[in-house]
Amino acid sequence: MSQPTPKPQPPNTLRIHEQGESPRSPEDQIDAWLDVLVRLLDLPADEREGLRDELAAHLHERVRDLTLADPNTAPHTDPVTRAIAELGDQAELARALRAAHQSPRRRRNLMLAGLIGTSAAALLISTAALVQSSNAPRTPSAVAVAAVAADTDEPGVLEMPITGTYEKARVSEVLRDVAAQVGRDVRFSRNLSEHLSMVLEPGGEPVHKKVTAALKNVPLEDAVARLADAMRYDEGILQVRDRGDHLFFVYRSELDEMEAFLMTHDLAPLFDRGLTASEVRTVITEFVEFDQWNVNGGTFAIAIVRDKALVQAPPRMQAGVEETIATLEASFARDGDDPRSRALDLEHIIPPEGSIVSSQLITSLDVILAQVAEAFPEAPTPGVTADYDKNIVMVYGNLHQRTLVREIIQHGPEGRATSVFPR
Amino acid sequence: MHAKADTHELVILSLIAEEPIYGYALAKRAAARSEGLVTLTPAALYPLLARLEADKLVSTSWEAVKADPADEAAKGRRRKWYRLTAKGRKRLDQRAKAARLFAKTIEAFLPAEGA
Repeated sequence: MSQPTPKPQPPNTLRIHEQGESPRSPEDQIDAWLDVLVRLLDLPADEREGLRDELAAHLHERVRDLTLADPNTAPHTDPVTRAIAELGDQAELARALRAAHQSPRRRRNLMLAGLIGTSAAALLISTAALVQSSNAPRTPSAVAVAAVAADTDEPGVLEMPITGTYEKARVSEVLRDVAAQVGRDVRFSRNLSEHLSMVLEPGGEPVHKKVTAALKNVPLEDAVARLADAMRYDEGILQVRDRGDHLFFVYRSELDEMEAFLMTHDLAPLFDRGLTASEVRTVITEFVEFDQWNVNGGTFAIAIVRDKALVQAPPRMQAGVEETIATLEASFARDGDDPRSRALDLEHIIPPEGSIVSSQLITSLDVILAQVAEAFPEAPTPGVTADYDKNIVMVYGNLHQRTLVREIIQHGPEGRATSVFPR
Repeated sequence: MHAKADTHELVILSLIAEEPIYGYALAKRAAARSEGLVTLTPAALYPLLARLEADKLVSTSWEAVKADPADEAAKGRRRKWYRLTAKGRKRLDQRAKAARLFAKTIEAFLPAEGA
């Protein structure tokens, strides 16, 4: 006789009234949930206890509010279960809390500043490619961004497969082994070298940083990321570069400083649109890797002189600055923009006097849209809609697209769509 | 850009700037002030508070919960209070400035009311 399939439990809920079990008190349920979370935290004891107490206070207060709000709560909306469910998945929450607690601490320990991010190499290449492929005029400096990316990584070596099982092995030896597998010697940056074998007491023995990991045919760059993770480094903090005869292992902050260069960005189009130097600087230092700018406690600098921004920063950030300037330029349209401009705006077009927007026009919008798209194939697709109750046509597009829509409405697209009708 | 995280940080720093506050009260106040538009779920709120504390944008202190004497289980509970630091004030000012500029940008695209 087959057993009935157990009903799947939704995540983050507790079994409260199972057969043969006595109902647990809200206190017990909350404690049990917190026990699991705390075990997943992997933080120092005082930080674990602090988080436990804070979340316990939250849960009890939430349960009280839910109970007061609905004293006749049905079993499936039990306040304790609901309050716990609101906290989300335990593993996800633990991961987020761990990251929030650990990142700055590790930053301090490693004397690094502002190093949260994804793989620099991948980002470097992708952002450089973005700069190259944008419609904006390509500046020599922008090309240099791509050139740096191309020079830095020799394709192939960093993708070669790495295999190895390491049990509490010295990190320096593991990285040496990784390099040997691709036929390279190894060099460490100064800070990394210091931290891989730290002397904690004056005159004492060096304490070697150790790692446990198993790799099987893992691409070299991914292998380094996994080793860094096993060392509990933040994502992207440990970087590797192929330098021909050796692999160079380096902290991302050091690499950023090594690769930083001065680049000039043209701000004239932004100033033409009425933006001020202060506004531009604020947007850039706010949205492009906030922590990295010296005005925010980081290392890299931006100065605005006349209509130019002088930026001393690594290629990744230079590309971010370029992209931000292009976004601002696109956000503030001006008359006379090139048809290929990405600048878009929403315009309400009122039909000529004595005409009305008709249902026939509304059904012809696709035709109008196609005609506009055909006229400006390089521009983003415009949007056209109409409201015949309000007797308006709304068009979202650049100046030239909007002008064409207005002309079609006023004169008709040569018999393809009759736009407006006399009243 | 991390629009949502930036918004949450601005909301949290702004509320903490008004007066010292603890996590649950902060979430309730954010929802009330925004008429429900801003929802700081615990999963978003507490990691963000931890990061703000680690970055020294807020300082914290613990307070024993004044529990009902009849509520045995409540004894020993404590709440974590958050206060804005000078560094946090500076960050808030920067975030507010950027948010105003962003609002100004969006405003440029909005049709006039009733149009």
